Amino acid sequence: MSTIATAVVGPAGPSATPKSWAALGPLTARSLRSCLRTPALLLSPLLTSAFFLIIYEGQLSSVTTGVAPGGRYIDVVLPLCLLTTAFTGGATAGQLLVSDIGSGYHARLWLTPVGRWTLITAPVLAGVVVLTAQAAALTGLGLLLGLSPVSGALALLALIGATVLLGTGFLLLAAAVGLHTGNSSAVGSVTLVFFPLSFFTATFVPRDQLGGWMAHAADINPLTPPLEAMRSLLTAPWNEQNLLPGALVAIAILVVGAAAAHLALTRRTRTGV
Amino acid sequence: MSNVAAPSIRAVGLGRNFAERTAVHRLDLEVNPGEVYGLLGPNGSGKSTTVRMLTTMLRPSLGTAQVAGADITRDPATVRRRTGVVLQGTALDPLMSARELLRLQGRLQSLTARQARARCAELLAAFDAQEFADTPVGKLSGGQRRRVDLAVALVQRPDVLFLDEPTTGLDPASRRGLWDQIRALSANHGVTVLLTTQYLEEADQLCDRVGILRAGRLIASAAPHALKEQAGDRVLTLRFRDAFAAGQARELLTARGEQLHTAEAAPHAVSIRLARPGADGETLLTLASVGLHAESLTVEEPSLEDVFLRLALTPEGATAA
Repeated sequence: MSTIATAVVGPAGPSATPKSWAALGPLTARSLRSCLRTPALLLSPLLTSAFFLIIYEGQLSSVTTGVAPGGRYIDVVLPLCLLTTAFTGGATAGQLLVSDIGSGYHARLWLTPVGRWTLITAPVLAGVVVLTAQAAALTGLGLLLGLSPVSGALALLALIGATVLLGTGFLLLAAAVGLHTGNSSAVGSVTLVFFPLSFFTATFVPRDQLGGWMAHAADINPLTPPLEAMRSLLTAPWNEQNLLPGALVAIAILVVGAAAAHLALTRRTRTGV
Repeated sequence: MSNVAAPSIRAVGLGRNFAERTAVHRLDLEVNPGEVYGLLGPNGSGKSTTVRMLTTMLRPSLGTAQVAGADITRDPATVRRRTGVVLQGTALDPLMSARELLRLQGRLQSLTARQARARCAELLAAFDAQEFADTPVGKLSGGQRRRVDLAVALVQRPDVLFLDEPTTGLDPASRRGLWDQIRALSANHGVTVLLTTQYLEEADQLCDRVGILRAGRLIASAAPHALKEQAGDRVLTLRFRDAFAAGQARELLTARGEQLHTAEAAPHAVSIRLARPGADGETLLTLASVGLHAESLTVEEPSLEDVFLRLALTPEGATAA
Protein backbone atom coordinates (compact mmCIF):
# COMPACT_ATOMS: atom_id res chain seq x y z
CA MET A 1 0.00 0.00 0.00
CA SER A 2 1.39 3.41 -0.85
CA THR A 3 2.03 6.07 1.71
CA ILE A 4 0.02 9.21 1.44
CA ALA A 5 0.90 11.84 -1.14
CA THR A 6 1.67 15.34 0.05
CA ALA A 7 -1.41 16.79 -1.60
CA VAL A 8 -3.75 14.68 0.45
CA VAL A 9 -3.40 16.36 3.79
CA GLY A 10 -1.99 19.61 4.98
CA PRO A 11 -2.93 22.90 6.48
CA ALA A 12 -5.10 24.21 3.66
CA GLY A 13 -8.43 23.11 5.04
CA PRO A 14 -11.60 24.90 4.00
CA SER A 15 -11.93 28.04 6.06
CA ALA A 16 -15.67 28.57 5.92
CA THR A 17 -18.26 26.54 7.72
CA PRO A 18 -20.43 25.08 4.97
CA LYS A 19 -23.92 26.41 4.43
CA SER A 20 -26.45 23.83 5.47
CA TRP A 21 -28.86 24.89 2.73
CA ALA A 22 -26.17 24.23 0.14
CA ALA A 23 -25.62 20.76 1.56
CA LEU A 24 -29.30 19.89 1.32
CA GLY A 25 -29.15 19.36 -2.46
CA PRO A 26 -26.33 16.78 -2.45
CA LEU A 27 -27.83 15.03 0.59
CA THR A 28 -31.28 14.83 -1.00
CA ALA A 29 -29.78 13.58 -4.27
CA ARG A 30 -27.95 10.92 -2.30
CA SER A 31 -31.17 9.87 -0.54
CA LEU A 32 -32.90 9.62 -3.90
CA ARG A 33 -30.12 7.41 -5.23
CA SER A 34 -30.55 5.22 -2.15
CA CYS A 35 -34.25 4.89 -2.98
CA LEU A 36 -33.44 3.92 -6.56
CA ARG A 37 -30.98 1.31 -5.29
CA THR A 38 -33.58 -0.10 -2.91
CA PRO A 39 -36.43 -1.02 -5.26
CA ALA A 40 -38.64 -2.20 -2.40
CA LEU A 41 -38.85 1.38 -1.11
CA LEU A 42 -40.03 2.60 -4.50
CA LEU A 43 -42.23 -0.21 -5.68
CA SER A 44 -43.79 -1.74 -2.60
CA PRO A 45 -46.18 1.14 -1.75
CA LEU A 46 -47.00 1.66 -5.41
CA LEU A 47 -47.69 -2.00 -6.19
CA THR A 48 -49.76 -2.44 -3.03
CA SER A 49 -51.97 0.53 -3.85
CA ALA A 50 -52.20 -0.41 -7.53
CA PHE A 51 -53.24 -3.93 -6.53
CA PHE A 52 -56.01 -2.63 -4.28
CA LEU A 53 -57.15 -0.16 -6.94
CA ILE A 54 -57.50 -2.85 -9.56
CA ILE A 55 -59.20 -5.30 -7.19
CA TYR A 56 -61.62 -2.78 -5.67
CA GLU A 57 -62.50 -1.34 -9.06
CA GLY A 58 -62.86 -4.78 -10.63
CA GLN A 59 -64.91 -6.38 -7.85
CA LEU A 60 -66.95 -3.55 -6.40
CA SER A 61 -67.78 -1.30 -9.34
CA SER A 62 -70.53 -3.63 -10.56
CA VAL A 63 -72.23 -3.85 -7.15
CA THR A 64 -71.95 -0.20 -6.26
CA THR A 65 -73.80 1.31 -9.20
CA GLY A 66 -75.11 4.66 -8.17
CA VAL A 67 -72.66 5.05 -5.30
CA ALA A 68 -70.47 7.51 -7.13
CA PRO A 69 -72.01 10.83 -8.06
CA GLY A 70 -70.63 10.55 -11.59
CA GLY A 71 -71.41 6.88 -11.84
CA ARG A 72 -67.74 5.82 -11.99
CA TYR A 73 -66.58 3.83 -9.00
CA ILE A 74 -62.93 4.56 -9.81
CA ASP A 75 -63.63 8.17 -8.73
CA VAL A 76 -64.55 6.86 -5.28
CA VAL A 77 -61.85 4.28 -4.82
CA LEU A 78 -58.79 6.05 -6.30
CA PRO A 79 -58.58 8.58 -3.43
CA LEU A 80 -58.62 5.69 -0.96
CA CYS A 81 -55.69 4.07 -2.76
CA LEU A 82 -53.82 7.38 -2.89
CA LEU A 83 -54.39 7.74 0.84
CA THR A 84 -52.89 4.28 1.35
CA THR A 85 -49.91 5.32 -0.81
CA ALA A 86 -49.43 8.43 1.32
CA PHE A 87 -48.88 6.49 4.51
CA THR A 88 -47.12 3.44 3.08
CA GLY A 89 -44.84 5.62 0.93
CA GLY A 90 -44.45 7.90 3.93
CA ALA A 91 -42.30 5.27 5.57
CA THR A 92 -39.55 5.94 3.00
CA ALA A 93 -37.72 8.63 4.98
CA GLY A 94 -37.78 6.56 8.15
CA GLN A 95 -36.44 3.51 6.35
CA LEU A 96 -33.63 5.53 4.77
CA LEU A 97 -32.61 6.84 8.19
CA VAL A 98 -32.77 3.40 9.77
CA SER A 99 -30.62 2.03 6.98
CA ASP A 100 -28.01 4.76 7.57
CA ILE A 101 -28.05 4.23 11.31
CA GLY A 102 -27.58 0.48 10.79
CA SER A 103 -24.62 0.91 8.44
CA GLY A 104 -22.98 3.54 10.65
CA TYR A 105 -23.10 6.10 7.85
CA HIS A 106 -25.51 8.23 9.84
CA ALA A 107 -22.71 8.74 12.39
CA ARG A 108 -20.36 9.74 9.59
CA LEU A 109 -22.89 12.34 8.37
CA TRP A 110 -23.46 13.46 11.96
CA LEU A 111 -19.74 14.32 12.11
CA THR A 112 -19.89 16.76 9.21
CA PRO A 113 -20.22 20.46 9.97
CA VAL A 114 -23.58 20.89 8.21
CA GLY A 115 -26.67 21.56 10.31
CA ARG A 116 -28.03 18.31 11.65
CA TRP A 117 -31.54 19.24 10.57
CA THR A 118 -30.38 18.57 7.02
CA LEU A 119 -29.83 14.92 7.89
CA ILE A 120 -33.54 14.46 8.54
CA THR A 121 -34.78 16.94 5.93
CA ALA A 122 -32.89 15.32 3.05
CA PRO A 123 -34.56 11.89 3.32
CA VAL A 124 -37.93 13.59 3.80
CA LEU A 125 -37.42 15.63 0.61
CA ALA A 126 -36.37 12.49 -1.23
CA GLY A 127 -39.52 10.84 0.09
CA VAL A 128 -41.59 13.75 -1.25
CA VAL A 129 -40.11 13.23 -4.73
CA VAL A 130 -40.75 9.48 -4.56
CA LEU A 131 -44.27 10.01 -3.27
CA THR A 132 -45.02 12.45 -6.07
CA ALA A 133 -43.91 9.87 -8.61
CA GLN A 134 -45.95 7.15 -6.91
CA ALA A 135 -49.07 9.32 -6.76
CA ALA A 136 -48.65 10.32 -10.39
CA ALA A 137 -48.23 6.69 -11.45
CA LEU A 138 -51.30 5.60 -9.52
CA THR A 139 -53.35 8.47 -10.94
CA GLY A 140 -52.16 7.42 -14.38
CA LEU A 141 -53.42 3.90 -13.66
CA GLY A 142 -56.73 5.43 -12.58
CA LEU A 143 -56.98 7.19 -15.93
CA LEU A 144 -56.43 3.87 -17.65
CA LEU A 145 -59.27 2.42 -15.58
CA GLY A 146 -61.66 5.16 -16.65
CA LEU A 147 -61.04 8.03 -14.27
CA SER A 148 -62.65 11.20 -15.55
CA PRO A 149 -62.58 14.06 -13.04
CA VAL A 150 -65.25 16.72 -13.24
CA SER A 151 -62.66 19.51 -12.91
CA GLY A 152 -60.25 18.08 -15.44
CA ALA A 153 -56.44 18.17 -15.24
CA LEU A 154 -56.43 20.72 -12.42
CA ALA A 155 -58.25 18.21 -10.23
CA LEU A 156 -55.68 15.56 -11.05
CA LEU A 157 -52.81 17.86 -10.13
CA ALA A 158 -54.58 18.84 -6.92
CA LEU A 159 -55.16 15.16 -6.15
CA ILE A 160 -51.46 14.40 -6.50
CA GLY A 161 -50.64 17.51 -4.46
CA ALA A 162 -53.04 16.45 -1.70
CA THR A 163 -51.47 13.00 -1.58
CA VAL A 164 -48.00 14.53 -1.28
CA LEU A 165 -49.12 17.04 1.37
CA LEU A 166 -50.65 14.28 3.45
CA GLY A 167 -47.70 11.98 2.78
CA THR A 168 -45.18 14.61 3.92
CA GLY A 169 -46.70 14.50 7.38
CA PHE A 170 -46.31 10.72 7.39
CA LEU A 171 -42.75 11.05 6.07
CA LEU A 172 -41.87 13.31 8.99
CA LEU A 173 -43.55 11.00 11.51
CA ALA A 174 -41.73 7.97 10.13
CA ALA A 175 -38.44 9.88 10.06
CA ALA A 176 -38.93 10.81 13.71
CA VAL A 177 -39.61 7.19 14.63
CA GLY A 178 -36.65 6.01 12.56
CA LEU A 179 -34.27 8.51 14.13
CA HIS A 180 -35.56 7.80 17.62
CA THR A 181 -35.48 4.01 17.43
CA GLY A 182 -33.14 3.11 14.57
CA ASN A 183 -35.52 0.24 14.04
CA SER A 184 -37.14 -0.75 10.77
CA SER A 185 -40.10 -2.49 12.41
CA ALA A 186 -40.85 0.59 14.47
CA VAL A 187 -40.96 2.67 11.30
CA GLY A 188 -43.32 0.13 9.78
CA SER A 189 -45.60 0.52 12.77
CA VAL A 190 -46.45 4.07 11.60
CA THR A 191 -48.10 2.45 8.59
CA LEU A 192 -49.72 -0.16 10.82
CA VAL A 193 -51.40 2.58 12.87
CA PHE A 194 -52.91 4.35 9.88
CA PHE A 195 -53.78 1.35 7.72
CA PRO A 196 -56.67 0.14 9.94
CA LEU A 197 -57.87 3.73 10.28
CA SER A 198 -58.37 3.86 6.53
CA PHE A 199 -61.06 1.17 6.93
CA PHE A 200 -62.96 2.97 9.70
CA THR A 201 -64.05 5.71 7.36
CA ALA A 202 -66.06 6.06 4.17
CA THR A 203 -63.76 3.49 2.63
CA PHE A 204 -65.84 2.10 -0.18
CA VAL A 205 -68.85 4.41 -0.24
CA PRO A 206 -69.45 8.12 0.44
CA ARG A 207 -70.00 8.96 4.10
CA ASP A 208 -73.68 9.83 3.66
CA GLN A 209 -74.32 6.24 2.68
CA LEU A 210 -72.82 4.81 5.86
CA GLY A 211 -75.03 3.85 8.76
CA GLY A 212 -74.88 2.74 12.40
CA TRP A 213 -71.60 2.70 14.33
CA MET A 214 -69.56 2.91 11.16
CA ALA A 215 -70.99 6.35 10.43
CA HIS A 216 -69.95 7.49 13.91
CA ALA A 217 -66.48 5.99 13.47
CA ALA A 218 -66.11 7.81 10.16
CA ASP A 219 -67.21 11.06 11.78
CA ILE A 220 -64.37 11.00 14.30
CA ASN A 221 -61.74 9.38 12.06
CA PRO A 222 -59.06 11.98 11.18
CA LEU A 223 -58.60 10.38 7.78
CA THR A 224 -62.20 11.06 6.75
CA PRO A 225 -61.78 14.79 5.89
CA PRO A 226 -58.74 14.28 3.62
CA LEU A 227 -60.41 11.31 1.94
CA GLU A 228 -63.59 13.28 1.29
CA ALA A 229 -61.62 16.26 0.04
CA MET A 230 -59.75 14.08 -2.42
CA ARG A 231 -62.97 12.48 -3.57
CA SER A 232 -64.60 15.85 -4.06
CA LEU A 233 -61.81 16.76 -6.47
CA LEU A 234 -62.96 13.94 -8.73
CA THR A 235 -66.70 13.87 -8.24
CA ALA A 236 -67.68 17.52 -7.84
CA PRO A 237 -66.86 20.88 -9.41
CA TRP A 238 -63.89 22.68 -7.83
CA ASN A 239 -64.93 24.09 -4.47
CA GLU A 240 -62.45 25.25 -1.84
CA GLN A 241 -64.99 24.68 0.90
CA ASN A 242 -64.95 20.95 0.17
CA LEU A 243 -61.17 20.92 0.37
CA LEU A 244 -60.63 22.99 3.49
CA PRO A 245 -61.29 20.36 6.22
CA GLY A 246 -59.06 17.84 4.47
CA ALA A 247 -56.31 20.42 4.01
CA LEU A 248 -56.48 21.36 7.68
CA VAL A 249 -56.11 17.72 8.75
CA ALA A 250 -53.17 17.25 6.37
CA ILE A 251 -51.52 20.38 7.75
CA ALA A 252 -52.15 19.21 11.31
CA ILE A 253 -50.44 15.86 10.55
CA LEU A 254 -47.60 17.81 8.95
CA VAL A 255 -47.16 19.98 12.04
CA VAL A 256 -47.27 16.97 14.37
CA GLY A 257 -44.75 15.17 12.14
CA ALA A 258 -42.42 18.17 12.07
CA ALA A 259 -42.62 18.53 15.85
CA ALA A 260 -41.90 14.83 16.31
CA ALA A 261 -38.93 15.04 13.94
CA HIS A 262 -37.59 18.07 15.79
CA LEU A 263 -37.92 16.27 19.13
CA ALA A 264 -36.21 13.16 17.78
CA LEU A 265 -33.34 15.26 16.45
CA THR A 266 -33.00 17.17 19.70
CA ARG A 267 -32.98 13.97 21.70
CA ARG A 268 -30.39 12.39 19.43
CA THR A 269 -28.20 15.47 19.76
CA ARG A 270 -28.50 15.26 23.53
CA THR A 271 -27.94 11.53 23.90
CA GLY A 272 -25.37 11.25 21.13
CA VAL A 273 -25.00 8.95 18.15
CA MET B 1 -0.77 29.50 12.96
CA SER B 2 -0.42 31.76 15.98
CA ASN B 3 -0.92 29.09 18.61
CA VAL B 4 2.05 26.99 17.56
CA ALA B 5 2.59 25.46 20.98
CA ALA B 6 -1.07 25.05 21.84
CA PRO B 7 -2.16 21.44 22.19
CA SER B 8 -4.27 20.07 19.36
CA ILE B 9 -6.46 18.34 21.89
CA ARG B 10 -6.96 19.64 25.37
CA ALA B 11 -9.52 18.18 27.76
CA VAL B 12 -10.03 19.52 31.26
CA GLY B 13 -12.16 17.58 33.69
CA LEU B 14 -14.07 16.00 30.82
CA GLY B 15 -16.69 13.53 31.98
CA ARG B 16 -19.78 11.72 30.82
CA ASN B 17 -22.47 10.19 32.95
CA PHE B 18 -25.07 7.83 31.62
CA ALA B 19 -28.19 6.99 33.57
CA GLU B 20 -26.76 3.95 35.26
CA ARG B 21 -23.03 4.64 35.28
CA THR B 22 -20.21 7.12 34.79
CA ALA B 23 -18.37 6.26 31.60
CA VAL B 24 -15.62 8.87 31.85
CA HIS B 25 -14.44 10.55 35.08
CA ARG B 26 -12.98 14.06 34.85
CA LEU B 27 -10.45 13.32 32.15
CA ASP B 28 -7.49 15.68 31.76
CA LEU B 29 -5.64 15.17 28.52
CA GLU B 30 -3.33 17.10 26.23
CA VAL B 31 -2.17 15.95 22.83
CA ASN B 32 0.43 18.04 21.02
CA PRO B 33 0.37 18.97 17.35
CA GLY B 34 1.71 16.19 15.14
CA GLU B 35 1.67 13.69 17.98
CA VAL B 36 0.20 10.20 17.75
CA TYR B 37 -1.52 9.50 21.03
CA GLY B 38 -2.99 6.11 21.85
CA LEU B 39 -5.79 5.48 24.30
CA LEU B 40 -5.66 1.96 25.69
CA GLY B 41 -8.02 0.23 28.01
CA PRO B 42 -10.18 -2.85 28.37
CA ASN B 43 -13.70 -2.96 26.98
CA GLY B 44 -15.94 -0.47 28.73
CA SER B 45 -13.06 1.63 30.03
CA GLY B 46 -14.33 4.78 28.32
CA LYS B 47 -12.15 4.96 25.21
CA SER B 48 -14.96 5.27 22.70
CA THR B 49 -16.99 7.58 24.93
CA THR B 50 -13.96 9.87 25.12
CA VAL B 51 -13.60 9.88 21.35
CA ARG B 52 -17.33 10.47 20.91
CA MET B 53 -17.18 13.50 23.18
CA LEU B 54 -14.06 14.94 21.57
CA THR B 55 -15.57 14.54 18.10
CA THR B 56 -18.87 16.22 19.17
CA MET B 57 -20.93 13.08 18.68
CA LEU B 58 -21.78 13.07 22.36
CA ARG B 59 -22.16 16.01 24.70
CA PRO B 60 -20.02 15.81 27.82
CA SER B 61 -21.78 15.88 31.18
CA LEU B 62 -19.00 17.95 32.70
CA GLY B 63 -15.72 19.57 31.85
CA THR B 64 -14.49 21.22 28.69
CA ALA B 65 -12.33 20.35 25.74
CA GLN B 66 -10.79 22.12 22.79
CA VAL B 67 -9.97 20.28 19.63
CA ALA B 68 -7.96 22.02 16.90
CA GLY B 69 -8.48 25.25 18.78
CA ALA B 70 -12.27 25.07 18.96
CA ASP B 71 -14.45 24.30 21.95
CA ILE B 72 -16.38 21.07 21.51
CA THR B 73 -19.58 22.38 23.07
CA ARG B 74 -19.51 26.07 22.05
CA ASP B 75 -18.21 25.66 18.52
CA PRO B 76 -18.85 22.08 17.46
CA ALA B 77 -19.16 22.94 13.75
CA THR B 78 -15.56 24.19 13.69
CA VAL B 79 -14.41 21.05 15.49
CA ARG B 80 -16.18 18.94 12.88
CA ARG B 81 -14.63 20.99 10.07
CA ARG B 82 -11.09 20.60 11.39
CA THR B 83 -11.17 16.97 12.43
CA GLY B 84 -11.43 13.69 10.62
CA VAL B 85 -12.86 10.63 12.27
CA VAL B 86 -12.58 6.93 11.55
CA LEU B 87 -15.14 5.22 13.70
CA GLN B 88 -15.15 1.77 15.20
CA GLY B 89 -16.48 -0.41 12.40
CA THR B 90 -16.80 0.99 8.91
CA ALA B 91 -19.15 3.96 8.80
CA LEU B 92 -19.99 3.94 5.12
CA ASP B 93 -23.15 3.48 3.10
CA PRO B 94 -22.70 0.02 1.57
CA LEU B 95 -24.72 1.02 -1.51
CA MET B 96 -22.45 3.96 -2.36
CA SER B 97 -19.11 3.78 -4.15
CA ALA B 98 -15.89 5.31 -2.84
CA ARG B 99 -16.14 8.01 -5.49
CA GLU B 100 -19.68 8.94 -4.45
CA LEU B 101 -18.78 8.94 -0.77
CA LEU B 102 -15.73 11.14 -1.25
CA ARG B 103 -17.56 13.63 -3.46
CA LEU B 104 -20.49 13.89 -1.07
CA GLN B 105 -18.13 14.34 1.87
CA GLY B 106 -16.43 17.14 -0.04
CA ARG B 107 -19.74 18.90 -0.63
CA LEU B 108 -20.63 18.57 3.04
CA GLN B 109 -17.28 20.15 3.87
CA SER B 110 -18.11 23.24 1.77
CA LEU B 111 -16.22 22.29 -1.38
CA THR B 112 -17.83 23.17 -4.70
CA ALA B 113 -18.79 20.29 -6.97
CA ARG B 114 -15.64 20.86 -9.04
CA GLN B 115 -13.39 21.03 -5.95
CA ALA B 116 -15.03 17.91 -4.54
CA ARG B 117 -14.34 16.02 -7.76
CA ALA B 118 -10.68 17.10 -7.71
CA ARG B 119 -10.29 16.19 -4.03
CA CYS B 120 -11.89 12.82 -4.66
CA ALA B 121 -9.41 12.11 -7.47
CA GLU B 122 -6.47 13.05 -5.19
CA LEU B 123 -7.61 10.77 -2.42
CA LEU B 124 -8.45 7.85 -4.69
CA ALA B 125 -4.92 8.07 -6.10
CA ALA B 126 -3.29 8.45 -2.69
CA PHE B 127 -5.05 5.40 -1.31
CA ASP B 128 -4.65 3.24 -4.42
CA ALA B 129 -8.41 3.09 -4.64
CA GLN B 130 -9.01 3.94 -8.32
CA GLU B 131 -9.39 0.28 -9.13
CA PHE B 132 -12.48 -0.08 -6.96
CA ALA B 133 -13.60 3.55 -6.93
CA ASP B 134 -16.96 2.79 -8.53
CA THR B 135 -17.75 -0.46 -6.73
CA PRO B 136 -20.33 -0.25 -3.94
CA VAL B 137 -18.33 -0.33 -0.71
CA GLY B 138 -20.53 -3.16 0.55
CA LYS B 139 -18.77 -5.37 -2.00
CA LEU B 140 -15.22 -4.40 -0.99
CA SER B 141 -12.88 -6.28 1.34
CA GLY B 142 -12.45 -5.13 4.93
CA GLY B 143 -9.05 -3.60 4.14
CA GLN B 144 -10.38 -1.73 1.11
CA ARG B 145 -13.34 -0.42 3.10
CA ARG B 146 -10.98 0.83 5.80
CA ARG B 147 -8.91 2.67 3.20
CA VAL B 148 -12.05 4.33 1.86
CA ASP B 149 -13.09 5.16 5.42
CA LEU B 150 -9.74 6.82 6.12
CA ALA B 151 -9.84 8.67 2.79
CA VAL B 152 -13.31 10.02 3.63
CA ALA B 153 -12.00 11.21 6.99
CA LEU B 154 -9.26 13.17 5.22
CA VAL B 155 -11.41 15.00 2.66
CA GLN B 156 -11.32 18.28 4.59
CA ARG B 157 -7.55 18.08 5.26
CA PRO B 158 -8.06 17.75 9.01
CA ASP B 159 -5.66 19.07 11.62
CA VAL B 160 -6.67 16.29 13.99
CA LEU B 161 -7.58 12.72 13.15
CA PHE B 162 -9.49 10.43 15.51
CA LEU B 163 -9.20 6.71 14.91
CA ASP B 164 -11.44 4.51 17.03
CA GLU B 165 -10.03 0.98 16.88
CA PRO B 166 -9.16 1.46 13.21
CA THR B 167 -7.59 -1.92 12.56
CA THR B 168 -10.10 -4.16 14.30
CA GLY B 169 -11.06 -6.98 11.95
CA LEU B 170 -8.30 -6.31 9.43
CA ASP B 171 -5.88 -8.95 8.23
CA PRO B 172 -2.20 -8.43 9.18
CA ALA B 173 -1.21 -7.02 5.78
CA SER B 174 -4.05 -4.49 5.77
CA ARG B 175 -3.21 -3.56 9.36
CA ARG B 176 0.42 -2.89 8.50
CA GLY B 177 -0.68 -0.83 5.50
CA LEU B 178 -2.91 1.30 7.66
CA TRP B 179 -0.08 1.77 10.16
CA ASP B 180 2.14 3.09 7.36
CA GLN B 181 -0.53 5.57 6.39
CA ILE B 182 -1.06 6.76 9.94
CA ARG B 183 2.70 7.21 10.38
CA ALA B 184 2.89 9.17 7.14
CA LEU B 185 0.03 11.42 8.17
CA SER B 186 1.72 12.30 11.41
CA ALA B 187 5.36 12.39 10.37
CA ASN B 188 5.06 13.97 6.94
CA HIS B 189 1.99 16.13 7.31
CA GLY B 190 1.85 17.05 10.98
CA VAL B 191 -1.60 15.63 11.51
CA THR B 192 -2.35 15.02 15.17
CA VAL B 193 -3.70 11.53 15.69
CA LEU B 194 -5.65 10.19 18.64
CA LEU B 195 -6.31 6.50 18.31
CA THR B 196 -7.92 3.92 20.49
CA THR B 197 -6.89 0.35 20.13
CA GLN B 198 -7.09 -3.04 21.74
CA TYR B 199 -3.84 -4.07 20.05
CA LEU B 200 -0.90 -3.21 22.27
CA GLU B 201 1.58 -3.88 19.50
CA GLU B 202 -0.24 -1.26 17.47
CA ALA B 203 0.09 1.32 20.21
CA ASP B 204 3.74 0.42 20.69
CA GLN B 205 4.48 0.77 16.97
CA LEU B 206 2.52 3.92 16.28
CA CYS B 207 2.16 6.07 19.33
CA ASP B 208 4.44 8.77 20.65
CA ARG B 209 2.52 8.59 23.91
CA VAL B 210 -0.14 6.31 25.26
CA GLY B 211 -2.74 6.81 27.93
CA ILE B 212 -4.29 3.94 29.82
CA LEU B 213 -7.92 4.19 30.81
CA ARG B 214 -9.46 2.06 33.50
CA ALA B 215 -13.11 2.39 34.47
CA GLY B 216 -13.26 5.83 32.87
CA ARG B 217 -10.15 7.20 34.57
CA LEU B 218 -6.83 7.98 32.92
CA ILE B 219 -4.43 6.08 35.16
CA ALA B 220 -1.24 6.54 33.16
CA SER B 221 -0.04 8.71 30.31
CA ALA B 222 3.51 8.60 28.97
CA ALA B 223 5.71 7.47 26.11
CA PRO B 224 5.57 3.69 25.62
CA HIS B 225 9.23 3.26 26.67
CA ALA B 226 8.65 5.24 29.85
CA LEU B 227 5.66 3.11 30.74
CA LYS B 228 7.67 -0.03 30.07
CA GLU B 229 10.41 1.17 32.37
CA GLN B 230 7.82 1.62 35.09
CA ALA B 231 6.52 -1.87 34.47
CA GLY B 232 9.62 -3.72 35.66
CA ASP B 233 13.25 -4.64 35.02
CA ARG B 234 14.74 -6.05 31.87
CA VAL B 235 15.69 -9.73 32.07
CA LEU B 236 19.07 -11.01 30.78
CA THR B 237 19.16 -14.68 29.84
CA LEU B 238 22.51 -16.40 29.26
CA ARG B 239 22.74 -19.86 27.71
CA PHE B 240 25.82 -21.98 28.42
CA ARG B 241 27.19 -25.07 26.75
CA ASP B 242 26.05 -27.31 29.62
CA ALA B 243 24.25 -27.32 32.94
CA PHE B 244 27.53 -27.42 34.90
CA ALA B 245 28.69 -24.10 33.48
CA ALA B 246 25.26 -22.65 34.07
CA GLY B 247 25.39 -23.81 37.69
CA GLN B 248 28.79 -22.13 38.19
CA ALA B 249 27.44 -18.91 36.73
CA ARG B 250 24.37 -19.07 38.92
CA GLU B 251 26.49 -19.48 42.07
CA LEU B 252 28.80 -16.66 41.11
CA LEU B 253 26.00 -14.25 40.32
CA THR B 254 24.10 -15.13 43.47
CA ALA B 255 27.23 -14.49 45.50
CA ARG B 256 27.49 -11.07 43.82
CA GLY B 257 23.93 -10.30 44.94
CA GLU B 258 22.33 -10.43 41.53
CA GLN B 259 18.62 -11.13 41.49
CA LEU B 260 18.00 -14.39 39.64
CA HIS B 261 14.88 -14.54 37.51
CA THR B 262 13.24 -17.84 38.28
CA ALA B 263 11.01 -18.00 35.23
CA GLU B 264 13.86 -19.45 33.12
CA ALA B 265 13.65 -23.21 33.69
CA ALA B 266 16.25 -24.60 31.23
CA PRO B 267 19.15 -26.21 33.20
CA HIS B 268 21.86 -24.76 30.95
CA ALA B 269 20.52 -21.21 31.15
CA VAL B 270 20.64 -18.46 33.75
CA SER B 271 18.36 -15.42 33.88
CA ILE B 272 18.88 -12.35 36.00
CA ARG B 273 16.92 -9.13 36.43
CA LEU B 274 18.80 -6.05 35.24
CA ALA B 275 17.90 -3.53 37.88
CA ARG B 276 20.27 -0.76 36.74
CA PRO B 277 21.70 0.58 33.46
CA GLY B 278 24.87 -1.20 32.39
CA ALA B 279 24.20 -4.23 34.55
CA ASP B 280 24.23 -6.52 31.51
CA GLY B 281 27.79 -5.58 30.56
CA GLU B 282 29.04 -5.91 34.16
CA THR B 283 27.55 -9.39 34.40
CA LEU B 284 29.25 -10.57 31.23
CA LEU B 285 32.60 -9.18 32.38
CA THR B 286 32.24 -10.87 35.76
CA LEU B 287 31.58 -14.23 34.17
CA ALA B 288 34.34 -13.81 31.58
CA SER B 289 36.85 -13.05 34.36
CA VAL B 290 36.42 -16.63 35.65
CA GLY B 291 36.31 -18.20 32.20
CA LEU B 292 32.56 -18.57 31.88
CA HIS B 293 31.43 -17.62 28.39
CA ALA B 294 27.80 -17.73 27.39
CA GLU B 295 26.98 -19.27 23.99
CA SER B 296 24.08 -16.88 23.50
CA LEU B 297 22.33 -14.14 25.36
CA THR B 298 18.99 -12.36 25.11
CA VAL B 299 17.65 -9.27 26.85
CA GLU B 300 13.89 -9.11 27.29
CA GLU B 301 12.27 -5.71 27.70
CA PRO B 302 8.94 -5.42 29.50
CA SER B 303 6.29 -5.10 26.83
CA LEU B 304 3.41 -2.67 26.66
CA GLU B 305 1.30 -5.72 27.35
CA ASP B 306 3.04 -6.08 30.72
CA VAL B 307 2.26 -2.45 31.42
CA PHE B 308 -1.32 -2.87 30.34
CA LEU B 309 -1.84 -6.00 32.39
CA ARG B 310 -0.32 -4.35 35.42
CA LEU B 311 -2.19 -1.06 35.19
CA ALA B 312 -5.43 -1.64 33.37
CA LEU B 313 -6.51 -5.08 34.41
CA THR B 314 -5.59 -5.23 38.07
CA PRO B 315 -8.40 -4.41 40.48
CA GLU B 316 -8.99 -0.73 41.14
CA GLY B 317 -6.86 0.53 44.01
CA ALA B 318 -4.47 -2.43 43.85
CA THR B 319 -1.95 -0.94 41.44
CA ALA B 320 1.10 1.13 41.97
CA ALA B 321 1.28 3.09 38.73
